Amino acid sequence: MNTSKFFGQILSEKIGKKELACAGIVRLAIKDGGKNPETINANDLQKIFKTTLKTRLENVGINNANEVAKYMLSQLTKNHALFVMSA
Amino acid sequence: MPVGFATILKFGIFIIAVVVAILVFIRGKKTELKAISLVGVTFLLIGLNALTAVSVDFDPTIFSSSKTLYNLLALSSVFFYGLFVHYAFYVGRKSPIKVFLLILAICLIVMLIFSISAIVITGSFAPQNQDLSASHINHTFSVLIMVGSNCLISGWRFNASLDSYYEIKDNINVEDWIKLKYKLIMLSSVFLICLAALQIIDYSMIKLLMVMALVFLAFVLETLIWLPPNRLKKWANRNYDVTDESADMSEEEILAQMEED
Repeated sequence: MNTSKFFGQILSEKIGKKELACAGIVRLAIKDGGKNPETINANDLQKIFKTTLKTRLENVGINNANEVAKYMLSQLTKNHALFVMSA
Repeated sequence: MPVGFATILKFGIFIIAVVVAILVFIRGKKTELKAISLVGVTFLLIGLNALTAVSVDFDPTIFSSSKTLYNLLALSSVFFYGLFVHYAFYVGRKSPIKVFLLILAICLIVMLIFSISAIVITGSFAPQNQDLSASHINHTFSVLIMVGSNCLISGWRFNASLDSYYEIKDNINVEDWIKLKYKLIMLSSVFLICLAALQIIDYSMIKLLMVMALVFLAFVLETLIWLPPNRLKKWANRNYDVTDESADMSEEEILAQMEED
C-alpha cells in the first residue's frame, strides 16, 4: 500500500487542499519522523500523525491542526486492517 | 496397523502446517503485527491437531484421550483465529471478542468436564470399554461446540472482511492485490463454515471426499493469503498505478501548494 497517497487523499478530503500536496505533506512528515514512507508500519504512523504531521500542518497555516491530526488518527484506526493485508 | 491414505494425508497436513506456521510467524515478527503472528499460531495448532489424528490411526486404544486433545487443540485454534480477527480488523474499535472468548472458555470447560467424567466413570480410555450413552452425549456435545464455534468465528471473519472491503473497494490508492486478499479471506471463511457444518452429517464416503476437498481448498487459500508468491501479487496488481507523483515534488513545491487557497 502507498501510505502517503492513501492518507494524502483522506487529508485532502478533510482540509480541502490538493491531493498531491497532501500526499506530499504526509510523505514529508514521515521523513521528519525518521521513517521510510514505503515501509512505515501502523504503530510508527500513529506517532507521526501525533507529532510531525501536526507540526507540518501548523507550519502551513492549517486551522485546527490538532483536530485534523486527531481525525487522521481515527482514520488510521479505521483502516488498520490494510496494514495487516499489505504485510 | 497398515498406514492408509488418510493417515499419510493427515501427516502431510501436519508437516505443511508447521512449515507455513513458522514462515507466517517470522513475517509477523518482522512486520510487528500481532494479527499475522496469530495466524502462525493458528496454523501450528491445526498442524498439531492433524498429528493427534495420526496418533489415533496408529493406536485406536488411545481414542478417548486423543479425541479430548483433538477437541482442545481445535478449540484453541478457533480461539487464536478469533484473536486474529480482533487484532486485524478491530484494533482501537468496539469488538465482540470478549463475548466470543467467554463463550469459548465456557465451552472448553464443559467439554473438559464431559471428557474427564466419561473416562473416570468407565475407567478406560478405550472407546469399546466406555459407557455408550455417556460416550454418545460427549460426542454430540463436542460436535455441537466445534460446529458452533467454527461457524461463529468464520462468520465473524467473513463479515469483518466484507465491511473492510466495502470501505476500500473503489479507492484507487489501495492495491488490487489487497482487494483480492479480502475476497480470498471471505471465500476461505465460507469454506471453513461449510467444513464445520459437515461435521453434523453422518460419516459417508461423500462426506469424506467433501471434507478432504474443503480442507485442501481452505489450506491452499490461507497459504496464498499469508505467504503470497510474488507472481500472484504482480498479476493482481497488473492494472494498479504504482506511481506516486508526490515523491517527485520538492519540499518547496509541496509547501507552496499547501499554502494555496
